[in-house]
Amino acid sequence: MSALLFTVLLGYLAYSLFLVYYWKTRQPLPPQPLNVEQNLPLPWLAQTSTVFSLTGLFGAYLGIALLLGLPALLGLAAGTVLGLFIVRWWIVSTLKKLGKQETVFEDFLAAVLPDDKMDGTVFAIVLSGIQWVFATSELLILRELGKAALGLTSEQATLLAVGIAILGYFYLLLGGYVALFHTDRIQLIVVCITAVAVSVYFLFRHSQTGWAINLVPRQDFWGIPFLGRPHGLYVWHFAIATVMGLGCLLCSPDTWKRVYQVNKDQGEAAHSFRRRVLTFLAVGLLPYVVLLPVAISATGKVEVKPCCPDPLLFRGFKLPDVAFNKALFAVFAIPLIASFLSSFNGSFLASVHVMVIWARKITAMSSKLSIRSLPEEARFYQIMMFTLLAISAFVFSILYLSSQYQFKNPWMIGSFLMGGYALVAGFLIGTAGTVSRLPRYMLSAGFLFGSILWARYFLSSPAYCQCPTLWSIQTVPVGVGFCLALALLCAVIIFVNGRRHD
Amino acid sequence: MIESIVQPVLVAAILACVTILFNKIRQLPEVERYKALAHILVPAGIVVATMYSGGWVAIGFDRPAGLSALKTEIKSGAAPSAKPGFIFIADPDAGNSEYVIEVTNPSASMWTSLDANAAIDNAAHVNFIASGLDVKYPLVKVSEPLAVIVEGELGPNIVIDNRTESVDEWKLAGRRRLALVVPVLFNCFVALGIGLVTGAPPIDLKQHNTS
Repeated sequence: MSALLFTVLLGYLAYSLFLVYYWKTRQPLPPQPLNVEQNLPLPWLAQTSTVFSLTGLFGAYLGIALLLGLPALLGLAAGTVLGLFIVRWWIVSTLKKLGKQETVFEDFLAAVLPDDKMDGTVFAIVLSGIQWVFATSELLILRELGKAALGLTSEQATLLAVGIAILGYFYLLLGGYVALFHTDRIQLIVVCITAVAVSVYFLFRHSQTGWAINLVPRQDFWGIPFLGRPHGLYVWHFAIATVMGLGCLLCSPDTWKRVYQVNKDQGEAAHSFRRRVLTFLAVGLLPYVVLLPVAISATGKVEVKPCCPDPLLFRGFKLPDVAFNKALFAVFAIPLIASFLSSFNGSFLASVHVMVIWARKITAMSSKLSIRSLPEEARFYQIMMFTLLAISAFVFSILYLSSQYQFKNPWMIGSFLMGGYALVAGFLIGTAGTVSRLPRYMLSAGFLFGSILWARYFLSSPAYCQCPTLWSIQTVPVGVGFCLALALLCAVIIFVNGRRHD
Repeated sequence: MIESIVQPVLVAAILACVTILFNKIRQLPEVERYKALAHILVPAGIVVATMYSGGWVAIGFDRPAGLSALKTEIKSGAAPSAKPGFIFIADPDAGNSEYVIEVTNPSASMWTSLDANAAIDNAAHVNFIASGLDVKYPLVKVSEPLAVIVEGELGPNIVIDNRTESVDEWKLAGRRRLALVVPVLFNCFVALGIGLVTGAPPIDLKQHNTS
């Protein structure tokens, strides 16, 4: 009870201080609430934080590190660093093409969305939808981790996840990008301290076991088609993971904003090129350096089981029960919540920003459509609450369906999302970042047929399982292949189209 | 009995408040209207929906019973031996529900917290049936929590008024775990309060509000 009283009092104190600070410094919203580029602290830290969120710690990247060891993890790191440079090049070249003296991030977002109403709408909805589903998957994973690691009951875990989502929503509603960048900074500090502590613990605990063995991939994952396990297997792993790391950053509007901000802040400084290269390298590699000791020490203990035959017999997976130890409970619970809050906020605001730009663009170019021109502030509020409602509806529907059909696998949503990432990344790579180069309706049709294809594959993949299984990482090579095939198709269509016009 | 009256009255009162609030918000200018909806009605609605669909249970306002599996028997001077069983603990006033806890191979006896008289009075309320332990409320002349210890393998389900739920959902959870949920909930309500203050339309002091 004393622990409960203490945390309540601490929370109350923190919020009293926050309230005083908030009311003393409260400024009215700018005319365009998300067009904020000043006073955004340490955007490079924010980028590290976003990679190091649930994706890295509790999602696909950790699964890959556990099963495929060093080659794939190096590939992910290389893909992340490469992605940061490519996104920077993409932003700079897109803004240069606009030919304006002064440009802002919103100009870039507007340029990325195609001018065609249908294609533009589909692309904006897909970009935002991916972020909604990502946020939903985070909520469900947080709920599951709350149950598995912290020993919460289902209701407690649901309340925890929804409560934190509401907190994140208010951060963004009241503070926009400034609040987002501040939470990212705090999250990274908390997670880094925890990670260092955990790494030191593992270093001492596992000093007698063969670390090198744990860096070698397990059998049966990501084999080269038709060749089995030749010598080039590790290069193959590296290549697949590189494309995955790259693709995840390419289709994240959240990353675009952060890279834009880093580029803008360092653009006029002395030695800006060298500083930028060092920043992107550090930002890209840091999450993996922190992830590696966790993966190495845990990999020996992970038992890889295929999909469970009967979900009724599955009693939930069990992480080390930390609830009996106050210090361990805090060490695990605080970074978990911080990670969640940061990545949830990032994906939430990214989706809102894309929708705001789309709404502005479509209102401006359409006099025939019966879309009323709302004031920018009203539109921001409208899209914020619509996004919250959409994510909540997803969460409650999935919880209802999972109880009806005995699904106990919140990671399945994330695995399914890989198809969405593959589609968007494929289109962006194939069109060199300008999807409007494709023939009219090609983008919309591509998303429609691509989604159907991916859904058909997914239903027969190991990831479609009623219980969590590490075998779901087998969908990664297929997603990568899907992305590259689409990119190639787009490039060929653009080439043929260009030749015909010449 | 009171629960069956209070709940509809409470729901009706909330619906009336929401309707009045919604009508007020509809009359506001466009920006103020969306601001109020985004700051007050939508987040509050989601929190209310979460609380209604199980949130009260999470903070211990509901779910009048809990159980815990027993696995070993420890005798002095001997090594622990496996002995499956479970303990069922319930509030004395758990409405009019009937709980059937599935048990595989139950023993013929159970150990309860009832005294001899209460045990006789409640013989039809706490007993074994074919599928397991059956506890029928209301209990007769029982004012303290009921505890029952049963020997036998705990089944996967508990049936409450013909509704089947997983036993896992009814297992006793550590009390300290609430220390994580309550501050989040507390902060969530503070945020809703900030939203209420920020989203509420400004008062026009020049307007003559008295009749």
